[in-house]
This record gives sequence, C-alpha cells and structure tokens, in this order.
Amino acid sequence: MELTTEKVGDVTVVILPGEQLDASNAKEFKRDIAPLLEPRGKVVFDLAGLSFVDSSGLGAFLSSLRQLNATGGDLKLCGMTKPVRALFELVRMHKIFDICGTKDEAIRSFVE
Amino acid sequence: MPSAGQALSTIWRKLTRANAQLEQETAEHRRTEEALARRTAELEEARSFLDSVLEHLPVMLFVKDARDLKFVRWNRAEEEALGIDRSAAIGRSDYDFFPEEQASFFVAKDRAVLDGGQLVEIPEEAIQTAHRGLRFLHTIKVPVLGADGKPKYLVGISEDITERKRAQEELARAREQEVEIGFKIQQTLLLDQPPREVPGVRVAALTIPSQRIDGDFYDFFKHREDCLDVIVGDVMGKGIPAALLGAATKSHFLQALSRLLSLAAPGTLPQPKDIVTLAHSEVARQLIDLESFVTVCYARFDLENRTVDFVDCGHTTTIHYRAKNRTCAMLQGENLPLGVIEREIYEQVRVELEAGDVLLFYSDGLTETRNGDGELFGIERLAECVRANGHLEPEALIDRIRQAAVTFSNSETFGDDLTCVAVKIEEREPPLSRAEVEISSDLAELARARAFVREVCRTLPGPALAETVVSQLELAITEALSNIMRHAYRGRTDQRIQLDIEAFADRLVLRLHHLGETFDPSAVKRPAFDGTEDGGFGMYIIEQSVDNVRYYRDERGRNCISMVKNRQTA
Repeated sequence: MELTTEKVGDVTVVILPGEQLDASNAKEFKRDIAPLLEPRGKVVFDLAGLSFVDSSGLGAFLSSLRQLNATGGDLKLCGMTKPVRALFELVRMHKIFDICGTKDEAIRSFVE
Repeated sequence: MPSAGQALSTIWRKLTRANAQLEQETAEHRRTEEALARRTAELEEARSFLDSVLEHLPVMLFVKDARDLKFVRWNRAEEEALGIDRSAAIGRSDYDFFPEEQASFFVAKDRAVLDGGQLVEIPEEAIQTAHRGLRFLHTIKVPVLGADGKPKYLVGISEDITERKRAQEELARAREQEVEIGFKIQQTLLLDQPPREVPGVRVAALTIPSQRIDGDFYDFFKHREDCLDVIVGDVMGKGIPAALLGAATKSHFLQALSRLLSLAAPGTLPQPKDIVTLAHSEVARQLIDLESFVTVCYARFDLENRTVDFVDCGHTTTIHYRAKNRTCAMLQGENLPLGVIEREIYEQVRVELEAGDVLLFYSDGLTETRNGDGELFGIERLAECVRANGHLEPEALIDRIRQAAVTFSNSETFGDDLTCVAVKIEEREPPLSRAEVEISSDLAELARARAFVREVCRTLPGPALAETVVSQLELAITEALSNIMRHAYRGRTDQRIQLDIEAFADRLVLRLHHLGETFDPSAVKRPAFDGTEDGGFGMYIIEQSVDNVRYYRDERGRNCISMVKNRQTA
C-alpha cells in the first residue's frame, strides 16, 4: 500500500490512500504501516480521503495505537469524514483515540 | 544250679524266639515298606494326573503363595495368554510383570479372597500382556487352606473374554449407528427446511425425533411467488424401514409432480388430486407388498386467491384456525391412505382462507402422546392450544404446542416422532422494488457490494434515504459479507453469495444467501470497548446499524441473513 508521509518537526503525518479501509486491504495496511510506527514515535493518521472504514480497518488503527503506546509513543487521528466518525462513535472508539479536526490541530496537540 | 546244657538250651530257645520275632518284624517292615512304596506310587500317579490336568486345562490357571502372593505355579494356558514363560514367573509377583495400577488391582482382589476365606468372581479385569496388548479376563479366585485352617495358597482361573467383549461393543456401536443413521435420514431426506421467503405466507415446522425413528416426513414445493404446496406424511411402522419408505414416497411425489408439470399447459399447475393419484399408482404395489401404508395430506396454497386445495389420505385431522372469530375447524378428507387399495382415485377439497388464518398439520405422535395416567393428548387439547395461540407467529405457535406436549407427558422425549407444520396466511405485501446481485466470495468484491447498495438506495421509490442510513447499510453489508467470506467460506474466493434488496413502504429488507458453514449467532461474545481487542466488532456493528437481523436456512439449503432497516415515515 502506498503510504505518503510528511515529517513536521518530530511528528510523522501519514496520509491514508484510497477511499476505503476494509477487510480487503486492512491486513496490507497493517503490514505497511508497521515500520513507520517508530519507538516513542509521534504519529498522525490523516483520514481526509477515507470515506469508508469497517471493523477490520478499525482493528488496524487499534493495533497501530497499541504498538505506539507500548513504546512510549502516541497516535492521533484527523480529518475524519462523517461516516467514519459515525463508526467510531458506534463502537465507542472516539473515547480511545484522540480525534482532532485538522492536521495542524493534531500536530500541535503533540506539543501541548 | 542249671547245667551247661540246660543253659545252652535256654539261650537257644531265647535266640530262636528272638530270631522269629525279628523275622516277623522284618517281614512286617517289608510289608509296610511295600505298602508305602505302593502308596507312594499311587500318590505319584495321582499327582502326575493332577499335574497333567492342570497343565492342559484350557483355562488360565495360577497358584500364588498366600503369604507373599508370589507365583508358585502357572499352567500352559497362563503362559500362552500372558506371553511369559513360567520359569520367569515362579517366585515373582504381579508387580514384576504388570503396570502398577493393574498389579494393585490384582493384589487387592487376592487379599479380599484370602481375608474372606471365600471364592471371589471378577467378571472383567484388564491385563497388559507382552505379546497381545491389553486383554480382558473373567477370573475366579479361590483360597486353599492348609492343615491349620489358614489360607496357604490362592488359586486363580481365568478366561480371556476380549473377543467376546469386542463383539458386544461392536454390537452396541452398530445399534447406535443405526439410530444415528435414522436421525440423519430424517434430517436430510424426510424433513426439509420450511420455505422462508414466500410472500403472503409464513411456515414453521417442528420435529422432535424419538429414540426409534418413525416414518414422519414433510416437503414443500414453491411453484411461483403465489403458490406453495405442502405435503405431510406418516408411514406405518418404525425404524429405518419406515424412514426409507417415507423417503421413497417423497421421491415418488416429486417424480409425479415433475412429470405432470411437464405435461401441463404453460402457466397451469397440475391438480393436487392428480399428483397424489399418480404418485400413489407408482408406489401402491410396493406398499402392498411390504404390507405397509402411508397417510398423506397434500395441500396447495393459492396465496393470490387465498384458498387451499387439499387431498387428505387418512392423515390426522388438519386444524384450521380462523383468525376472524378465533375458532378452530377440523378438516378431514375421505380418501384412504396410500397402499391400501391399488387403484384408488383421490379427491380434493377447497377451503377459503383469510389473512391471519393458520393451518396446522401434525403426525399422530403428537395426539397420541400419553401422560402418566395413560391419558392421550388428543385432538381436542391440540385444538384448544391452537385456539389460544393461533394469533401468534407460526414459530411461536409451534413452540407453544411443543411446550404443551412436554408439559402433558412430563417429559422432553416422546415415544413416537412428534411432527408439526404450521402454515399461516399473512397480508400479502409485494415489495415496491427488488434488486439482486451475485458476487464471488472474494473480499475485493466488498466495494462492489457497497456500490450496489448505494445505487439501490439512490433509485428507491418513495422518499430518499438519509445519507447516514445509506452509510449504515453499507457498513452492515460489509460486515455481514466479510463474515461470510472469511468464516462461512473460510477464505475461499471462488464461492458465490447472492444479495437481494427489497423495498417496502416502511422498510428495506437486505438478504444475503450463501452455501458456506452455518453461523451460530449465540456463539459470538460482546466486543471489548476499551481498546484492548482489535476485533470482535462485526456482529455488534451489524446489530446497531439495522433494526432486525435474522439467521435462517431456506428451502434451497442456503444459509441466509436477513437485515431489516425501517424507513422514516414522512
């Protein structure tokens, strides 16, 4: 999976490609994101292009969060579209993840 | 004073007397010795006879010393059975040859014999042999007392019952298999899934098999969207023969139906009475030869006109529940069962139905259930149960009937198979629109399925659906499909899944059909909402995204998931 990254200071912003993250590509995403989740890393997933996420995609986000937290890093999500936000709220994951509005907000929140 | 001569005479007389005595004693001694020798010879002979007998006895024999339970004697049968030479056994104990558990068992029995001073019979004990593996013995142990009245020896005789035991176990297994086969015949050949997707009618069926299988059977033929044939039957007799006869009868009905369908004018259906007559003519000879008969009820439901044409051949009285006044009418035909007269012609009867009416078919296993006092459940009680519960959905009605039978007989199992089919007429509501698509079981197709749902939602008759609702449907479809692909089809990508969507004024019904493994919704646990688990959300998401989810099997044997989403009424 082609993952575009952007470094802003010590924060890594990953822009998710494609319009969907579901059972057909979630495994591929997990495999390709792993090397970008460095120990103690500060990572932001930009989900602006994503119009559909299912439970497999959600699982991939969760495992990324756990991988970072385990090494003292953190993950934030930004740019969520309405249906994706609806899913997160349905399974109460909006309480587990730090969900920011824009990319800048997400980067800034690492400093605070 | 005696003279020398006199003295000599006296000595001579004494010596002679002593000699005579000595000769007598010697002779006696010799006789005793001879007697002893004879006795010894006799004993020897007796002993060697006994040895020979013990040695060649066709049962295993051992003798143990009562004090230390060490072997003092083994016969040939014992050697051969255990694969151990007696020279290796004499002077040793059970612990030297057998696993500790077995040896302890033997010794415990030995002690019981010796302490009790009586014979002990052990119907079955396990013994590990060197050369023939685990064997089973039937053993008798006897104490042998010494001159002091205390046990001196323990004698054991054994018979190898391993083969006999195996034969018994195989017989038991064969019997179990017969019941298992009978059950499978029942489930696959005799009792089908009732149809689930015939608009205007809802069908529920109940079967409670008894220990011995019966010849109950039922079948359903859906001709068009508005016509359903139901056939319910009972073969006289029990067990596998009855079950096979039931299967054969069903097959003849299918053949008769198919032959008459091919001969019928296009757009028409053969009459039930003709189907029954033809099926009977094929099977009557066999039934008469087997001295058996089959009771059958063949009912054709016309859902457009709301009528039922039925041909009752000696079957139990069908109960017709009328929703209008909540009464039950008894429907009984005049025909004879199949297999009674070879050239029987069958008559059919038409009954008018209304929405909410229920027709209940059942086998006599239900009405002939007895309670503790020998009373029969009977048709009156059944009719009463239907009167009280006919307004419920047919599944619920059937369950109430089952509960009533269980309560009445005070048991969950029944002597005869208990079979029941309930057909309820519903308000027919044709969908406003219907669309279907077939996809392969490849996860890459998920996007295409979502696109299909979105397109159907876009072109729906009536008020447009809110975007959030469309997203929910996309999500529910995605989760349900990926479950089927990953679990029911175990990741195979070459299988088919059918998806259809029907729109009604007040709801949307989405259905998925597949031939993968059946899914048990009750086996799924609640997901963890604390972020500790990556998965397990699928089911929960489906349930939260739609208003109703149902898992069932349809009459084509496909596993189905139906999801209903209510529409906002304007």
